Amino acid sequence: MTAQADIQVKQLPGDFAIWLFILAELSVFALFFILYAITRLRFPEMFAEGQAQLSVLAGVGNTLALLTSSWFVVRAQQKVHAGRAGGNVFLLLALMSAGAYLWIKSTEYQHSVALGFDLSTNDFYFFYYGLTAFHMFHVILGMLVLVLLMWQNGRGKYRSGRMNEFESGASYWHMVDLLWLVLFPLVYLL
Amino acid sequence: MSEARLADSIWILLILVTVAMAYFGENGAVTFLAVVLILSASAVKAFCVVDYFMGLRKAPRMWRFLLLAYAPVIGVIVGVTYLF
Repeated sequence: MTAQADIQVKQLPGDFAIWLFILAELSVFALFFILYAITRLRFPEMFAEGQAQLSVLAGVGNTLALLTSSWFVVRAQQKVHAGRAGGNVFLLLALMSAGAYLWIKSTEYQHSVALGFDLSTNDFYFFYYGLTAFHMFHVILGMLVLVLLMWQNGRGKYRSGRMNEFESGASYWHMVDLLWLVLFPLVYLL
Repeated sequence: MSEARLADSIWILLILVTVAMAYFGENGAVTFLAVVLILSASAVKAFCVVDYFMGLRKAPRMWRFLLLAYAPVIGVIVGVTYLF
């Protein structure tokens, strides 16, 4: 083994630009999370009453769907990197899991609206709809990215040494998951 | 352990922590200790996603630190608001 082979260069997966974008996105959400916490501090009863109307089961379902989707993306990346078949199958499974998230979320919204709660009801619902819808927008954008990765992978664009675009898309998808892991306890549990 | 088996194990861990966290959050009173436990569990899940799903355990230290610090920093800020 050569000395050069011993040197392990630490590098970010994907493009550097996607990491700047991810940092910007995380910062925007961080601001919203902090604003939520400060507003909850001012109106604890209002937030407790609002949270009591939410379904923790639906929140858990959303979490499991996104975690599973992220796991499928990891498995897809491993397949594609190894040059093995099955990458697009895992990407399709990731999209189906994301679809389950969207279905659960839309059911939640329908339930809340049917009970007469909307954005203007109070500060809790303003944050609930605002934060979760903003996050859902990122999920939808991420699903479009996954479709693009599937299409390009189908054309044989990705392989070991040419994974930059795939890794960038996957990193964006995992960021969407990471954001939900903070959002879920904040809005549904605490 | 292969990378695939590692990813599978992390996914199972994430699912188990999520279910335990939700059960605890739903059935326990919102005391400060409960807040700390739930936010800590959330941070552990975020660590797993950052290191093993995003693959930052092999990334430059600064970037890894920035992403790993995200959930704990938000958690501490949120946790402090429960002290008042």
